[in-house]
Amino acid sequence: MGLSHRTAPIEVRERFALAGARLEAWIERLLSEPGVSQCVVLSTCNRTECYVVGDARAIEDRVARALIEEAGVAKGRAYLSSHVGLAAVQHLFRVTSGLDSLVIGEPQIQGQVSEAYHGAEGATLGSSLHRLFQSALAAGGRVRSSTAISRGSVSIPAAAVGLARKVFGSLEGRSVLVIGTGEMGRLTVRCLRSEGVERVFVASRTLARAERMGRQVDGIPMTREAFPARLAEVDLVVTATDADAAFVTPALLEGWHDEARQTVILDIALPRNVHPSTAGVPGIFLYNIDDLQRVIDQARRAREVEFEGAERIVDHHARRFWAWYRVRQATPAIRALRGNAQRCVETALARAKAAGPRDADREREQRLAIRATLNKILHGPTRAIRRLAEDAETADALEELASALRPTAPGWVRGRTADRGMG
Amino acid sequence: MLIRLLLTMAFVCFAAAWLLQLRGFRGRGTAPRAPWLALAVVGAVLHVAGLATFWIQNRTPPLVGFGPASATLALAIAVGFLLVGRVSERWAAGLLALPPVMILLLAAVWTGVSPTRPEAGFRGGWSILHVVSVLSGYASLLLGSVAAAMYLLQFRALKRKEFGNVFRSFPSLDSLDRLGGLGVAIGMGALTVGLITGWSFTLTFGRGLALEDPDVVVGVISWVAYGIALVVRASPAGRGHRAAVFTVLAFLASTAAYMSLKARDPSSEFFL
Repeated sequence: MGLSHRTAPIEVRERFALAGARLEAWIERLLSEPGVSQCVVLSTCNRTECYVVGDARAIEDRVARALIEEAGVAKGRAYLSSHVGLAAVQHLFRVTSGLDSLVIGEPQIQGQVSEAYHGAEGATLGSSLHRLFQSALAAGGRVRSSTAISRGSVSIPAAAVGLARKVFGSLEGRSVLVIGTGEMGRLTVRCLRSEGVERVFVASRTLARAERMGRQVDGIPMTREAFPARLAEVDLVVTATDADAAFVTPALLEGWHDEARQTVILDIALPRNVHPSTAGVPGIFLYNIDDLQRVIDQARRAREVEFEGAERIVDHHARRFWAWYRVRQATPAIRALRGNAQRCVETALARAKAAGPRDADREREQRLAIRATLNKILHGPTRAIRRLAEDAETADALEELASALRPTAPGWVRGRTADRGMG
Repeated sequence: MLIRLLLTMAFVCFAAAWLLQLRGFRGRGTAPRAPWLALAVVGAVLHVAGLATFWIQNRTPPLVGFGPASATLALAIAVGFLLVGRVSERWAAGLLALPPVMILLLAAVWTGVSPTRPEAGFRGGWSILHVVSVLSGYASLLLGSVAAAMYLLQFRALKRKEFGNVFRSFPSLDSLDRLGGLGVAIGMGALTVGLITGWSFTLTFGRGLALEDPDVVVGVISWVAYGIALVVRASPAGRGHRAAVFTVLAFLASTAAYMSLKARDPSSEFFL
């Protein structure tokens, strides 16, 4: 049960967002709802979803009502969607694999699901949800390792990093010069920093602005007039100024740029800051905003091609989990069947013992033989019950069977209460 | 018969692996690596089995004669490619490394993988060291040339802003440059050892430097051509594009030398 970028606009999503103390209070409230035995809450900037184990028919409306009350959104039900049973399992697996994300295949969601799962571990997590989230994370990992759904760059800063990596391999220890103090330049430098770029030089029209951005990205500030002297020692140049005309030209590079050294220039400004003829200078790899957009488009198309294969992997894993979950539902019926048979044997043996004294060794042998025979007889019915359990349609029939096999005297069957649904 | 069958099966496996990899490279998505890599590994295993059978049946290593030597060289290239791929997790080199493996293997099967009666002196440790050094040197130089060719293709894609299959599938310029440098350096070392042991060997038998032997000529030309590429790479501005160009030129010079020597006397047998 929950909402995502597919069902609700950002103004609604931010009202439903749960974090910190509010998240803890919400989980407590959710668990206090009758019929809710286990829960995990996943709250990111694009979705807030509650994964609950309990009788779906009984708790669906109660959880929705509580969630709407918590968010304080009138007519909030219109934004909520819910999945029950296998559909809920498939949904979580798709979410974890990044197939339900705003940017298909984005990798952060795997970490966010893992965080939600580990946050709930021990407190609100039962064996069903424990196994469900472990399987979902495994499926997500499998999707990412077996397909190219997460490969390629789908944002301007990521595309810039991708291009730089195609030239330099690792960016560890490299140095970058950023000219301009705009938002896109700052984001790109942050992205490069996270890839291990060591030194950052920041050049701006005024030293004060360069110093301000320098503090934000841990860079060395300088005025725009001073940057050519740094060209010989940097590997990457990012230009992002609002200058009216291109000021980086082959003539400017002459004397400063070492031709034996490879330099990547990322011109993310509009109008362009770097003259196109600069691309002809040996050792220079020049890319503008259109080039970066083309890299992004290619990556998006490649991800779309991978989508079908990723869906197949997710479906396979979800169905495997569901088969395990359904078989687990058969445990009370199987225990009742075996317990009943065992009880019959014990009663018969007790009656025989009461008839007169018996040889202890002979009795042990008889007991073992009876147990082995019993196991053989019950093997077929046990397998049949397990097979039946894989079909969700038989849930009621199994419940009935378990009740029918349960003896009138309470306490001798130590079966757990079955989970009636997962949503 | 068994040797030929095993080597033919190895050829089929390598060809299938290459075609699968090529299909993945040409597609827009990413073809799973496991099927073609498994085929390449099976091919290498069959290849080893074929050469081991040769050794057992003929009681001599498959080093002398065109058929056995080219089959061994093909195996050295295939194993080198698999090792480099395993260590660097870069498998795109298979696109360029597997065709020479297939060509050499096909040539071996075509001309026959049977033992050539070695000259009296061509037995023992020194001769084995000589042939093994030369063959491993050629294999390493070829892998270095493959990396250099890939460097030039990736360089072209980056310069022309062609963000297609080469851009996506090939490693970074830096990785290719290092792989190319390593291949040429190791290859040159091994080829040098091979040439020195070969020279000492011929001197021992009083034949002098057998410059009339086409395989010696090709060996010396390769050594000089790749030596120039190595010197260029070691120069201050030589790394990267220039080194890749010289490495590919060295490969072309060696191949051209081989082809022209063979063409000069069409009736002669292939040599290695």
